[in-house]
Amino acid sequence: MKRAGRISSQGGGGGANPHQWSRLVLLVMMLLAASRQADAKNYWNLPPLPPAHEYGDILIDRLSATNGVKAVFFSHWSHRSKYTCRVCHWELGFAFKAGGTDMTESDNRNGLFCGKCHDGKVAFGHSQGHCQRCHTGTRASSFEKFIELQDNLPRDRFGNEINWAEAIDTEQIRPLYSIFKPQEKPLGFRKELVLEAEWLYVPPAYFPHEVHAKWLDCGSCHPDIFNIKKKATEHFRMKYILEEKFCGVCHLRVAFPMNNCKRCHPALKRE
Amino acid sequence: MKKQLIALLSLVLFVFCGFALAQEFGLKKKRPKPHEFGTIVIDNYSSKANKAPVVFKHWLHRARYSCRLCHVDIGFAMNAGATNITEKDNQRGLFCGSCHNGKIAFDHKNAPKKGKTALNNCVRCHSYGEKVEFKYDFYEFQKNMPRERFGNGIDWEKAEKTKKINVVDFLEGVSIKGLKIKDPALLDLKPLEKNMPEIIFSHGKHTKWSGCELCHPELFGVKQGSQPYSMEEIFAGKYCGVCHGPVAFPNIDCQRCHTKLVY
Repeated sequence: MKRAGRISSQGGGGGANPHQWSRLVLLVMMLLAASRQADAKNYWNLPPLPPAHEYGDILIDRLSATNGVKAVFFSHWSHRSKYTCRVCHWELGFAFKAGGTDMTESDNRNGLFCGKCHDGKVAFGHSQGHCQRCHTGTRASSFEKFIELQDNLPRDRFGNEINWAEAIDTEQIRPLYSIFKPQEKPLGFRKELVLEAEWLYVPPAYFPHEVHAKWLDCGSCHPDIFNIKKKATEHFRMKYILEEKFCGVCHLRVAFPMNNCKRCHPALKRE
Repeated sequence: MKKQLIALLSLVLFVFCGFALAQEFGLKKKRPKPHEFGTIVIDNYSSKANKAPVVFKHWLHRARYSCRLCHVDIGFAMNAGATNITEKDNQRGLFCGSCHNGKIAFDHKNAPKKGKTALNNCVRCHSYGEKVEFKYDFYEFQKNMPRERFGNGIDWEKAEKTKKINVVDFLEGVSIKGLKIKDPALLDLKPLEKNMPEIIFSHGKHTKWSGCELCHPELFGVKQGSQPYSMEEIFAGKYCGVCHGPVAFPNIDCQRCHTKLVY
């Protein structure tokens, strides 16, 4: 509330018409208070968790509806068991938000985005007869296929209820690291960061580069989401993470959700 | 009172603008598509003169000419708009006009003819926001090129090596004939972050496109080891980031430079 403080100190020195002046100050204070209250209300609102087989499912409707076709359904779990996040979100340049990629049908036909694999060779193509497989208009993850996958993988408490990190560590899944350079391997960057919490009594979060590097590339997070200057990421707070920024870009809707407090803050006594 | 009211309103505006701006952090930025990569818009004077701003496509030009030819011999700056090109400059044979003179490439004189937009040379460059049928299609061009994953999705270095493209480095009347330099040894650059693999810098790969003058002595001094620079600065568009980010393969392709494994 530094800014509000500045306003009231100016108000105190007000000149010609103190009555009107103070009314204005009051109005501003109320506006600021209202926005803060709205903040507080949303503070701990984690997005509601869908059933495990629908976690990470998205509907993309940028142009579909306006072009008279059904929205595109995309399931993260069915793709991430075969490809690392890095392949789509780094090599192919997909945005980290549903509808955030300027993707068109002609892009796909030019071999960009979905079209890089969905070309009729690697995966079913973008041709007649296959339209309905993506343009479903509804979240259509197959429960049976999901259970089949989940049954063979280590479990976790939230999200897909699959411990994806352990699954890749133990090579129960071998998602492809690169579709362009088969020889490429994760850089051996194993630095673990200790992130001190701002709040008293909240134990630090631990960030393991190594676990992330198996799925992602340095360039997936740096320098856009996190700059690379040490201890200089501004606004890196839980509040913003919950607004789908920083860790929240992935760890709210696709990677294990933040209902799992202890997975980052392991010393937390209770959740 | 009026003064105070204005001050107060601007303060409120400032607070809320600050709020809006603050929302930009912690998110991924949008990446250009392959055909947009390296395409710049130049609008020093166009809009003011009621003309559409100029769209310059690096991919189309680098398929024929070296970076050095335009950025050293002809003297283009390394930032969009920093050259301050005027129409007069071009007509005097400077900048774009060095080639776009009706002899090497289409010229700058052709006035628009009614009903024949295809012949209107103005819109071929002054095309920002205009509907123009271009002569060359990026994805058609890309089909015959060796591929890479980022930037234009083209491995330009390989394209040049395998003679898929012929990169011209000399322009009569503008360039001077120099001796070819022998490639110096590879530079092994130690990263500041000790966990990162070392960077192998190849002069050989760069001189074909850039000669010496494009980088030395302004971007990089010539005394080895005398100029420490960091990845932060490169991300901010300095040093390697002058080209590797906006035009040459982007600096998110970590392993293309950090190649020497240290673990």
